Amino acid sequence: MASARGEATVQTPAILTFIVADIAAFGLFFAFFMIGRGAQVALFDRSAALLNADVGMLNTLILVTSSWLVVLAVDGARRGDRRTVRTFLALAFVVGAGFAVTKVIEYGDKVSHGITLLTNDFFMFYFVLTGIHFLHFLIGMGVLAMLWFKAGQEAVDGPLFGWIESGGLYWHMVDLLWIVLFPMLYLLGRR
Amino acid sequence: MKRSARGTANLVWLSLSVATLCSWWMAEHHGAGVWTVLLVMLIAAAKARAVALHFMELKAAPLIWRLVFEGWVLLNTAMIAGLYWFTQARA
Amino acid sequence: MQATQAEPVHLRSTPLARAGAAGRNETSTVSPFRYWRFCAAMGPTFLAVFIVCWGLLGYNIPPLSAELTGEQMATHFRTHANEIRAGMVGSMTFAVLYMVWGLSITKVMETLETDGNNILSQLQLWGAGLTVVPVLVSSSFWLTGAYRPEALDPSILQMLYDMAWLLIDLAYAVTSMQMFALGALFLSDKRATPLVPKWVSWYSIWVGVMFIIEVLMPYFKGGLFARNGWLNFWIEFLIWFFFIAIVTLYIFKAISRLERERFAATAKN
Repeated sequence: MASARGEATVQTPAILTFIVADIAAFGLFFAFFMIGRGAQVALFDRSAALLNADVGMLNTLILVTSSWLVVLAVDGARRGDRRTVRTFLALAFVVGAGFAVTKVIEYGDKVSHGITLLTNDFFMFYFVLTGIHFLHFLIGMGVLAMLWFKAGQEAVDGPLFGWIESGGLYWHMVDLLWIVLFPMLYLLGRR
Repeated sequence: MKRSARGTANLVWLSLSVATLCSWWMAEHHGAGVWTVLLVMLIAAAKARAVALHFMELKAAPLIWRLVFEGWVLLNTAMIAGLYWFTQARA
Repeated sequence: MQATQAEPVHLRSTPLARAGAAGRNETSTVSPFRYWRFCAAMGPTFLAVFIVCWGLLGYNIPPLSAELTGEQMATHFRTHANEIRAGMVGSMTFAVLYMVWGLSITKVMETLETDGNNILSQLQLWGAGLTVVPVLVSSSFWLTGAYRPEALDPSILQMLYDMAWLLIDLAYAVTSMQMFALGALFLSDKRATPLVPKWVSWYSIWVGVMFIIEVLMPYFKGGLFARNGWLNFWIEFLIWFFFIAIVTLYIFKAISRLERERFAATAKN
C-alpha cells in the first residue's frame, strides 16, 4: 500500500492480522448460522420475514457511504491535507451514526414485540450476529472520533498517518461484514 | 491517491449503492425463488470484493493479502449460497 | 561517562541503566535479565498443567453440558471424585504461574516505557495476576464437589459445577485487560524492527475482544454459546492457549535481543 507523501510502498499495516482473524471468526459464525438454518428452514424463514429489509438496506447504504467518506479522508491524509481529513472523518462519523439510530430502533421494535435472543434459534443468531457486529461498529465510531481529534493536534502525514490508514481499514471491515451479513439474515427467506 | 484513483473510489461508492438498491428491489419485488437469492448473494460478493480491493486498497497490496480477502469473500458467499440452494432443493 | 549514541534509548532511564551506571567501573556478573526467562517459561508450564489437571483430570475439556440433570452431575462427581480432586489440586497449585508468566511480559514492556509511564506494564501485570483468581477459585468449587459428593444433594453438586463455570467464563475481562495493555504497549514501539511484532499485538487485542462473547454464556444451556459450545468453549479457550504460546515465543526472542543490545552497549563503554 502506498504511504504518506507518495513514498515507496511500505509494509502492509499489521492491523490486517486483527481484521483477518475477525472476518475468519465471522465467517465461522455465518457457517454456524447456515447450518442451524438447514435444520429449521421453515422457522428461520418465518422469523426472517419479521425483519425489516428496508432498514437493513438502509444500513448497508449508510455503511457503504461512511466507508467511502473514510477513503476520501485517508486520501487527504496522504496529501497532508488536515482540513480534508477532519471534514471527511466527521462526515463519516455523522453518516455512520445513522447506523446506530436504525439499530436501536430495530432492536427496540423487536424487544417491544417480545422478541429477544431467547425467542428461537433464528433470533438468537440475529441478535448475536448483529450485536457483535454492532459492538465492532461502536469501536469503529470511537476510532473515527479519536482520529478526528488527533488530526487536529498532529500532522496527518506524519506518524498519525499509519493510524488513520489502520482505522480506515478497520472501518472498511465493519462495512464488509455487513455486506455479507445483511442478505444472509434478511433476504434468504424472501418469497 | 491520484485524481483518477479518487474518481475510482467515487465510482465504486456509486456502484455499491446501486447494487444495494438492486438487491433490495429484487428481493422485495421478485421475491419468489432460489435464483433471486443466488443473484443477491452474487451481488453481495461483488460488493464485498469491491470494498476489499478498492476501499481497502488490497489491489495494490502484496498478493497474499488480496488472496486472503478474495478467498474469504468467495468462501463465505459460496457457503451461504450453497447451503441455501441445498436447503431449497430439498424443500 | 556519557551514554554513547549506540546505547539503545531504553537503557537510559530504567532500573537496568541505573544499576549499570552504579557499577560502571566493575564488571557485574549478574545479568539484569536474571529470572526473566524462567518466568517466561512459566507460561507454557501453566498451560500444560492447566490442560492436564484442570482439563483432563478435571473433566473440563470439554465441560459437562448444562443440560444435564442434577442426578447426572451427582453421578459424575461421585464416579470421578479422586480424579477431580487430583486435577483440581494441580490446577490450584499451579494457577499462580500465570501471574509469574505475566511478570516476564511486564519486564520486557518496561524496557519500552522509557518516559517512566509504566501504566500499561502495570495493567498487564495486574491482568495476568487477576486471571489467577478465577482459575484458583473455580477450581476450588469443583474440588468441593469432589470432596464428599455422596453426602451432597444433586442440586448442590450441580450448582457447584455451574458456579465454577460461570466464574471462570465471566471473569474474562481481567484477561482481556491483560491482552489490551500488552497489545497497546507493543504497538507503540517506535523501533524500525519492533521488539515484539505488531501482529502479535493485534492478535492479543483480537483475543481480548473475542472474549466478550462469553457474556452470552449465562443465557444458554446448549448450543454455540453454552459453556461447552463450539464458540464459548472450544474457540475461546483455544485462542487463549494460542495467545499464551505465541506471546511466550516472542517474549523469549525479545529477551535475547535485549541481552544482545545491552551487551553491545556495555562492550562499547
